[in-house]
Amino acid sequence: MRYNPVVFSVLIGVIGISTCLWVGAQKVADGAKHRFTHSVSGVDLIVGPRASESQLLLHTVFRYGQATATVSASRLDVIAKGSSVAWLVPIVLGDSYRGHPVMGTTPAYFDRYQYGNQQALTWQSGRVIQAPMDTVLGANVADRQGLRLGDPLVIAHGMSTRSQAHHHDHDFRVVGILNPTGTPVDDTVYTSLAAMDAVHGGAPTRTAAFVGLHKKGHTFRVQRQILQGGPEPLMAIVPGIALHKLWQLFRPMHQAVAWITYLIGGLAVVPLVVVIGLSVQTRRKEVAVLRALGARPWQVAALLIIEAGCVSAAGVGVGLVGWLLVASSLGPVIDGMVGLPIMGVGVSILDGISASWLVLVAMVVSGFPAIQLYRHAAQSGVQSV
Amino acid sequence: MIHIQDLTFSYKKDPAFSIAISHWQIQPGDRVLLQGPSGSGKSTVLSLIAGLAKPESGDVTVGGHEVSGPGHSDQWRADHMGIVFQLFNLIEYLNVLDNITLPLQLSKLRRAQVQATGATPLAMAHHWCDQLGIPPGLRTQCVGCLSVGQRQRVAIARAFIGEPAVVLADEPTSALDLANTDRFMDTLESACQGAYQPTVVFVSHDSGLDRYFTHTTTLNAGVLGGYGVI
Repeated sequence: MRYNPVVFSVLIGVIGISTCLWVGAQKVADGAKHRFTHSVSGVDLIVGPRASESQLLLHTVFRYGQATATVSASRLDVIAKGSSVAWLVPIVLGDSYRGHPVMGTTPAYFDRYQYGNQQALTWQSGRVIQAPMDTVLGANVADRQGLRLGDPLVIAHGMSTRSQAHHHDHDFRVVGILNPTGTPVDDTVYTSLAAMDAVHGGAPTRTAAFVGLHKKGHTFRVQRQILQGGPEPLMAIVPGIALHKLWQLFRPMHQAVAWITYLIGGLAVVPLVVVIGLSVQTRRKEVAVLRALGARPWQVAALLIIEAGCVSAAGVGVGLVGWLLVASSLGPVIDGMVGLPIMGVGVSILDGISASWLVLVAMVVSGFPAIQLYRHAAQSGVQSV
Repeated sequence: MIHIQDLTFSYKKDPAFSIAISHWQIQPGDRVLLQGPSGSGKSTVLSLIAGLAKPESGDVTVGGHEVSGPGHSDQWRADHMGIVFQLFNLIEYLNVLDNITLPLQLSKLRRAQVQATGATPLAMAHHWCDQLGIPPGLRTQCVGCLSVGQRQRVAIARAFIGEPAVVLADEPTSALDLANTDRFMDTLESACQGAYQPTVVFVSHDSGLDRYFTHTTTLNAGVLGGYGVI
């Protein structure tokens, strides 16, 4: 049996679009989760003043909220000298530039801090912080504020965009711009710890520190030591675990996205059912001829069902290729414009398996009109046709 | 070969129309012309013989097999019957050879009969093409591009391949002009020459076709007239 070219094209198109929507919705949902839970990687512990786990995480990774206390620089020096600690990068938060958070840190931050799947920060232009007033911009800051290398900027005290307390007497200058990461790094202004100490005065304090260990197996031991040791009440969180815990807070939202994905899948089935049903109905004459020539019911049904399966499998293939083209050409643009992440632009066997339910639906759907057609053919006799 | 006894039939959607045949016996090798006006029930009788319609009462047996009973299967029809349809009903996207060999794909018995002659299904399809004058150049063409005369020949070859015991033809000349009708009947007659002598039941309202048949009968308003030798 064979579909006529118009019906064949419509069927392939409908299944292709359905596949594209299904895979796309899943990729976006997965991308959102992946981006969130991989906002930071390569950091074994985040050390900060004792508070809630989520508060420390939100403040240090997402630059959200205020620090309730600070950590003395000397205490962090002690932790850095621990035998299990490979590196420690202190940070200071609390100031802003036109609503963008400012982070004081050391040059090591740009080597140590990673995101996604152990991806290092890379440079769009310029270099790392060397002098105290050197400033490095996240990609969004440079883009939205129209800043280039060498431009001066004035940092405001506190996080309010309306803050009147500007550090006018300190002449910060852009020396580097990072490439986009899709994480809060893009919205951050980086400067040196020395500059932050200078603008705030007093004994140097830190908001928190990112810590890397020699061995991952030491993570919980070091965490316990930080929690128990020293006069300052500190805590250390494992970012990966804390991020996954925090993600649970967004679970209802994620489930809503999942339901939207299922809804898209469900809506994709409607035209699929209609087109398959109609296309099988167009085979009335062939079925009647085959029936009259002695084809058995299972032979006719198998022909229609296998054919629908093959056509819909081709449609799924077209849809996956279509998704690949859409994602690779528009994915970065959409991500850059609205922050809609697309998890893994490529398509995998798993995506094919995930979309193969459409093939099953097509095969099941084609079975019903196949039976109807066979019954009709039986009633028509030799003049059926 | 074909035996109809005490048969009654009517359509549920049109109970006013009915067929009643008290007795009709067709011998093996007979070529029967069943005539009658449009709507008299000729095609329905063919459907009853093919087992595609079931009588309300009575029996229809073909070669000793009761086609009117619940045990009749599509497979039996595939094995023992060839059908030429009114509009030939070739599968448009298949080529000539694929159309001709289609019944062999549906019947192991007919395939075995072909293989018993030492030929393959494809070789047998070529044999029928040779016999019916289908040029070699056309045999791998889709049937959609054939002329009416060529389509007739393909339809006949499809019905006769594998030498089924019974061939049923449902007004295959109704849409043809006189010249094409004569050509079709000559072709059909030539297919029945030689060792293979199928039983043919040919439905038509054209009385001028008598000369091609051994027997003729009429059907008027569902009632069979006299069955006579020509």
